Amino acid sequence: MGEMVNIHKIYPDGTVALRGVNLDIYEGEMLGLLGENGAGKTTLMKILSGLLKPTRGVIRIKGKEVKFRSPKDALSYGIGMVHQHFTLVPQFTVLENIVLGSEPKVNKLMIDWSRAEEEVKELMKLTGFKVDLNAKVASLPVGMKQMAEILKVLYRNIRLLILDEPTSALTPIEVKSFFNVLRKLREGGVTIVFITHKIKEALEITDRIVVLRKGLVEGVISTTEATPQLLARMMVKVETKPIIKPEVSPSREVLVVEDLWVRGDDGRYVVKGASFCVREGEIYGILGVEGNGQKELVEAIIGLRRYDRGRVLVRSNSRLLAYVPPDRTTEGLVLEMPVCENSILGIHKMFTFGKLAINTRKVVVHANELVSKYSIATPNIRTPAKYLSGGNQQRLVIARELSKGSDLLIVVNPTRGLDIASTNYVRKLLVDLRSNGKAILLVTADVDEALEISDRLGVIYNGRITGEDLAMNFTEERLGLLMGGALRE
Amino acid sequence: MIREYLRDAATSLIAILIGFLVGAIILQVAGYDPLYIYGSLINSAFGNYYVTLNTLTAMMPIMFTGAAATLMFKSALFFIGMEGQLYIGSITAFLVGHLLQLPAGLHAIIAFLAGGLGGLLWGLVPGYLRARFGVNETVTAIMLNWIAIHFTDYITQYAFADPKATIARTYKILPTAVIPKISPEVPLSWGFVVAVIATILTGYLLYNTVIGYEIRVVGLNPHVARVAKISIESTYLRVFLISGFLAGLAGATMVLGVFNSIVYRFSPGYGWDGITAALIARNNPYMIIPASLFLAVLRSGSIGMMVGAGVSNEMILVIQGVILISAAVPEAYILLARYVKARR
Repeated sequence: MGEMVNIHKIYPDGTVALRGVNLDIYEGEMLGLLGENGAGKTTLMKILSGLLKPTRGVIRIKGKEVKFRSPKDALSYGIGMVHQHFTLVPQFTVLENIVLGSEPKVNKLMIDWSRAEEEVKELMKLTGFKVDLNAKVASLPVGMKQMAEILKVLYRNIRLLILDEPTSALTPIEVKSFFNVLRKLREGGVTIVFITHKIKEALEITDRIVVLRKGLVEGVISTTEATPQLLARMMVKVETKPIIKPEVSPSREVLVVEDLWVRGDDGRYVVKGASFCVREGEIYGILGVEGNGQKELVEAIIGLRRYDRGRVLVRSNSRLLAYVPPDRTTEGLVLEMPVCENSILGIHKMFTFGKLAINTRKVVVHANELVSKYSIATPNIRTPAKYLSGGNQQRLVIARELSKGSDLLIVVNPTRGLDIASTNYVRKLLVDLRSNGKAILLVTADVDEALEISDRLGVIYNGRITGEDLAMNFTEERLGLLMGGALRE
Repeated sequence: MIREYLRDAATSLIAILIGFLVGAIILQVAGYDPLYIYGSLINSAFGNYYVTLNTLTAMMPIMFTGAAATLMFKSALFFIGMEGQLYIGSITAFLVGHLLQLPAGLHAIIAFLAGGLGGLLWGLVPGYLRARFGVNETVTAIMLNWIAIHFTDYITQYAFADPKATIARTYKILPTAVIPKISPEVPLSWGFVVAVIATILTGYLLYNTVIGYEIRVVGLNPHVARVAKISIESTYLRVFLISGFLAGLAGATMVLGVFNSIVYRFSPGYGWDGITAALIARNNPYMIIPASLFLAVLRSGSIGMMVGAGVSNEMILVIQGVILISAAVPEAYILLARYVKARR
């Protein structure tokens, strides 16, 4: 029914997301789109649903070439996407949310609520969905919100339904009933594209699986012929060799995490009994597809989030924790502030006369020290941080965090969005720090990065460390199975 | 940094000029001679010794409320309750000045500080609600403004109304509580000097202290603040208290230094002028001083336009509105964008 030919996508910031993808979608099938972070699954489907424009490439629907300028254009061809994050208005009822934007009207002015209700009820009968239409969305459990979200798309006469990681917020029981609904939809003739990184789900529900990796199609396979091992190998390919590191025999445990349980923002457990330790002189990598509890795990460790059960133990000579957050522009730096003011963020109380007034001279000395020690390229220390390149911003964040003098350094996706030179600089810096005795917790979604610099590696899936070993002992297949949740060691 | 200040100053100046230009067009269309009318505006603001003093006196409270507004905006709070805080500050200053008996000088200082404390207390409620429960500060500000204004009416017209006075006002404060004039030749209250110092101190607070640093971080990026373990709640609360104190002082200077009593509805909107001043000053505390001068000129000059040039009061309001809106537009735009960002 649909065809995407030689699709390229380069984002305005230079990130290459898709590098020539061909995709066929057959009428009435359930197509699985499998891949790890950054494979380009979501980008590809955002293009098909009109949310993004491809840099290059052609889309054909039923043999006819189309150009979508907005999701509305795609909707007119019966293509609709349900995004990973909810797009419902919490204060509205389910019915109001479903018809929002395409309400049936009386005399072009008044909304015909009784007709809207009839139509949605008809739709529910057809699909087997059961949602209380008059309930406020805010009061619904996550599974119900998901249903409302899908109903909202279906209400617009959708023939091709795209679902982006739809099970990420659901409990296993909810997943089961959700899959039943999807099967019913397919029987009703709706074509479904199912984006996921979970191997098990792809095998369970789809007819055909397309594996994407780094913006390219790695393989297309009929689900009946697929095995977890095969998919895992297709998903994960290691392209770098580990950096040669001097031998350090790690001794003292600096960070110990034991059976940690942490709730996400919606109150459900997203970290479900994670245990690991990071020792002096080692980089411990936590690798996983994003959204498997990494964010909450780190926040619990650094004290930004409460945990319900378990223990976090930090044995460091400094009470300050060195933490390089995943997004330097929103969590690491105040972009409008100059380099010097950013260089004291979080430690600003140490640069004072008598605890109240800031000792500007001391700040200047400190900032200059960081700039020269870590070769941060900036016109001067009064330049706002927003004018620095991504690589130099990251250096500034790392430099500041290291100046806290903690034995433990926690870094999350430290090279995301950096160019090759900066990436190499950051990775080498981390290895040097480790060789000098720092304990480093590296949380990353980048397989290459994890294997390149970690000494030991734990794979996180669904809030648990499902496999842990020396980094060099992992094969691609084993990593793929662990990250895809098809294996638990 | 210096270049950015200059650019901000230039932007504000150009915006003001555009405002005057548009105002001129309106005046022309309405059949007035814009040059003559603007001339009488300047004339009635600076034309002689007494009107100049009037202009500077009007500038005094605006500097306080302007500094108060700047603190709020720097932390990305859109609190507009300075008018109410000003009135409450005038009441507490008046009560201390009228009821307590203290030696001269000390009495004035205590009464003055009491005014600040009144404003601070009036900021405590919305501040606590905002910090603890996330209650929208703009809404509480509007409600508290009206409560404060009507409560002051009760004070001026009933509770402490001076029956012998020809205008609606309270009894006079004791002479010991009066803020003295700078000199007999310059009958301007020392409150003016204090206002200038308070404005400069606000700048020092924002740019040279731990509290100010935290205020700016929270205002620019609350996510970073959270990661850097800067408490957003206590920063908000601090801003409300300091800002409220300043706005309260605005009322106190008028009561202790100008009227020596609370005159019924004595503020022609000094609290609102502070917000405008902060916008024209592009949120730079030091620029509050020239910005409040500009507003004071418009305030005191409007009388001249009305009496001297025979322009109707409504027309003056239109012209003032046009000038103020265009002066405030550049910063208001930035502020709004930041406010929306912070709420996300």
